[in-house]
Amino acid sequence: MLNELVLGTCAVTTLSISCGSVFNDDVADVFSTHESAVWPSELGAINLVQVDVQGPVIDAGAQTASAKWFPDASEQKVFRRALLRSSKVVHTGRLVV
Amino acid sequence: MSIPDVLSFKLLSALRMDVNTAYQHLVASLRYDDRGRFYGVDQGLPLGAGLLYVPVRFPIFDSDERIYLTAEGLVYVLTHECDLDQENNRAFNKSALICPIIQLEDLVSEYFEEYGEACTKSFLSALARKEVSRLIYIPPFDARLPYGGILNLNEITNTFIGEFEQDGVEKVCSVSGFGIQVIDNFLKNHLLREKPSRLPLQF
Repeated sequence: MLNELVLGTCAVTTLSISCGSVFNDDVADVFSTHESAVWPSELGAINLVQVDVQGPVIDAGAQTASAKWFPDASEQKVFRRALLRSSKVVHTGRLVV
Repeated sequence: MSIPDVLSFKLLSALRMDVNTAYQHLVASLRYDDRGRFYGVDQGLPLGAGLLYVPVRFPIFDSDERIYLTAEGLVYVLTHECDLDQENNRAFNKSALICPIIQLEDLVSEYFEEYGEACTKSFLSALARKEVSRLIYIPPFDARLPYGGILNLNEITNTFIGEFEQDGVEKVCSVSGFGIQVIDNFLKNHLLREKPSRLPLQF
């Protein structure tokens, strides 16, 4: 659960602002406790509400197994090459004798 | 540029997947949009879970030669800050668990080269929908993570805590309360989900 800062109250509704997400339209999936918001006339009260943050889809084995992207034996090497691209090798691991 | 150069440039471009295209495809498939609420900046936070550092040294296994090479790059710290705080009187607090971060553009480039555009797009969609439980896509932060990155939970490794104090190593940012919940949900599923096999003395 995530503690989300909620700013302000007014007579009819509560305005809730998730930190850093005020410009994000696509929040209903996560912030299921949100209500329609009206900008309050005064900002005074601070409440905390809790929201569910979704994790991975864990029941999609059959779906992913049949997906186009489902990896083959090269997958590990592809990811290793990508990690090497994102990093800088500072030692090859070979011993100089 | 000569005509052959122009032709080879166009050919190479056609054989490469534009990272902006890939990124837009991924964003369009996101299960929910993390951008804007995944990170924060607090330079006062102590070394510990939730922080991204660069460049930190870590091992990468070379399966052909069966040796580890040493690389340095952007990492996410997994160990709890209480277990890394040297002020705390506790043993075994000189190593930190970290997860190296693969830049999205690098993965797209390699994936496209190996599997082509259709598979790459299919993979990015699955990644965005959080259907690959070993991989966490984290959104862009700044020029050090321009298109976001991937945490491969099967590549979690460790490093010496002194690495975080080396010259040039900097704290990039912290994930937010929201961001750490996303990552922790993946970690719980990856590490703690029920085993399908019945273990000895398990009822």
